[in-house]
Amino acid sequence: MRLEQGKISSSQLVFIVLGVILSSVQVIPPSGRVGRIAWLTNLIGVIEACGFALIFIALAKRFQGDTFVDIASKVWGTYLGKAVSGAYLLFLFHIGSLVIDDFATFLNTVFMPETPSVVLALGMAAVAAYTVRHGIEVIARCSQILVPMLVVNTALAFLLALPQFELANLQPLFDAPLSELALGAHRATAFPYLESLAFLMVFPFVSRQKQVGKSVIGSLIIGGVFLSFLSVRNYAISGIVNTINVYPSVMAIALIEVGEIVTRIEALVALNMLSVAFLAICVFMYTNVLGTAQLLELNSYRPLVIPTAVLMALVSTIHFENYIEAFVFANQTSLLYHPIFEIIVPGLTLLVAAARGKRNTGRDALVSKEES
Amino acid sequence: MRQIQKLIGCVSLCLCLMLIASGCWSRKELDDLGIVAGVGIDEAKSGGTYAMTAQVILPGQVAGGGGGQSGGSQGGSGSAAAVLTSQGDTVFDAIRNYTFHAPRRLYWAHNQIIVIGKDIAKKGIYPVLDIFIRDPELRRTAWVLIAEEKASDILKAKSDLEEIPAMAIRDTMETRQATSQVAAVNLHDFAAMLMSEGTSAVASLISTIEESGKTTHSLSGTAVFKQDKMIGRLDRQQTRGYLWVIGEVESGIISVTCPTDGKKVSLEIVRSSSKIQPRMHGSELEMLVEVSVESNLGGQMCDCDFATIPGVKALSKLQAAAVRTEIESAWKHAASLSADIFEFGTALKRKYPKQWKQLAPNWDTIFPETKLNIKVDSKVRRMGTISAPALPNTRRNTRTGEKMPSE
Repeated sequence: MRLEQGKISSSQLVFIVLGVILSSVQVIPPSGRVGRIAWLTNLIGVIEACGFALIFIALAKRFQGDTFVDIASKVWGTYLGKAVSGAYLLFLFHIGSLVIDDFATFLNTVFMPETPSVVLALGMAAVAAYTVRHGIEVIARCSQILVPMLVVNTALAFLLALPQFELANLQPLFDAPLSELALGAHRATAFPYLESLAFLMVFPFVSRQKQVGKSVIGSLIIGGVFLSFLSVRNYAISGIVNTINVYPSVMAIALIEVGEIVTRIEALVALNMLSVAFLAICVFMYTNVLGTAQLLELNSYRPLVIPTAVLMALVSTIHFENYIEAFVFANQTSLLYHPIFEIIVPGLTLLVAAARGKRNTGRDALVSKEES
Repeated sequence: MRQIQKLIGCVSLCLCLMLIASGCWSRKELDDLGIVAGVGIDEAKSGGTYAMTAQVILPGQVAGGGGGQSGGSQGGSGSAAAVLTSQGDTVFDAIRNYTFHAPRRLYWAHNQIIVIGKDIAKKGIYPVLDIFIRDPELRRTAWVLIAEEKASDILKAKSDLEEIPAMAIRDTMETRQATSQVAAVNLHDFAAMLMSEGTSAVASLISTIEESGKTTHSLSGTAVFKQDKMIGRLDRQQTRGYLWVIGEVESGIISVTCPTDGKKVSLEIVRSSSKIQPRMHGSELEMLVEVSVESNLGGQMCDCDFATIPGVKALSKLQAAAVRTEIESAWKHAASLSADIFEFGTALKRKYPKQWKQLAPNWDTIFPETKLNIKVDSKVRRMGTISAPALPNTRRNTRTGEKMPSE
């Protein structure tokens, strides 16, 4: 029996990948950490990310219809393959719980300071678990609603913020040392752009396989431009204060005052963060349970969903002792940690596959497994 | 049967969710809160600590329009706000120390004004402001005001027109555009000015005045800071000079002297804008400030007929000169304080980032030496509903333009 019967269209794939990329705005201020030139590093990062994304896209092409767990066992052999997929699944679990933590920290800092973060984490994980149990199609449809809603919210908030919008704040436009630009771009690449690698578990369910590469590159570009736009908007509104704002979007939108009535619109930003965090958590949880089920050769991934969700939520509360640790992780550790799984593992897998001449011979691996 | 079980399960789940999901974890009931409308901070007499004065809205008084036990119009007794004081080692400490004597938890999300006493402003304002910027409950759109004397006096003053005095101050901040002689700075703007290298921050000054036997408040000018310490002030005229440069004059009256008989003519500003362009000639710095101002003839006390081409031209020349005088007065004062309130440093940084890095450390000494080049594009557009003074032809002086001293 197939683990996942659903199919998603390539446009739905674009929306989910966008959800994952945009979910990063909670933890890394899309402009805060590199200041005025964040819009530029976000754009340069897209170019770097598209380059590296070609690796896992090539992998997906070579093994059409295989998830990463299938690919690993074909390329690395049974035992080594299981070890590689195991590590990959742990990585997905880890980023998933990081997203939960970021989300809970955000709510704790700005809106609900007294609520224990484990309550927020479990609440979010429960909703995600419910969605994941219904399969990839439901996640895809959620993203089709939530991502356009996010765009509309952002546009609305932007229009209301226009009186405070001061593009001159961004000048001088290109004044930054090259090293800072490169580092900023690489940060954006490692996190969030290349997190789209999780979709190696999802590609087999895209109905038109030939579109996969195009969809991924397309959503990377759209996501990058969007993040870049947010950087411009936040810096143009908040000016230099933006560099110390923990949540730049919230703080920028909080300055909106149209008359005495239209104030406190930052709830819109919170809504956006909530919806993309939800999508990202769904994706990482789904890919994790699906992969685990494949690895352990189970008949269904559903029994794994609730334990995984609970674990993700609980682990999320012990990642970091304080906000500064999370910040250092996102800004420094992740520069090296993320690329291990985003670039090195798929890169090596592709190399070994080419050397050993491995590729998917069956038309659809999951179907062929069903036949055997 | 299974379907019924499922239905019962769903319904009971929904009921449970209604119980737990309907409220926030740390909910705050309105009748347990004291909503703070404005806050003032002074140095405590004991030294080293802070004295805080908060104006808390009394909801019953607001809703009843001051009805009930105390009539709203009965000289001040019907105020819809209570004034509470507290002390602490830090500002946050003082905020929490209210709980010793205030039965309601003070709620800060609706705070409109932050008044800082002059003593603190002179010693350094940032230690006081940090919590207001950092805490998520407080909003950065609150106005920052500097009291000419003690902040507590401002918070204790009443307003006849508004039931909540802090709201009255907020509203005067919003009607300031009618004169454009007061700088309006909210917490966010102030933080941005503090952070910006080379820029001197400004904030509005507020003082108490006597009005028909009662104490009320009045906006009196602009406080000028260096880092976070107040070092001087601009009067209202100079403040408008400053606002011309940064392009924030929205309305106001320019009084010019009629060239023929020395009486006053009021020009009502309709709109204005400005552009600051730094220029570097070798080591010499020049700031080109281009101000464009548009106004209407609002009223005249003289007999002149300005409804001629030379007449209107004469008015617009007088207007340009008046604007120039205001700017120069502000500039001279700022230069004497060597306080870059005009954000010339920022303009320089934007245009010449590399040179700015060398200038920045000595900006305090370079700034007063900067050459200021003011260009005023002055227009007088309309004359209101009459085209000539309502006087007999024989009294009108139609030779206005010709008598103008040529520039």
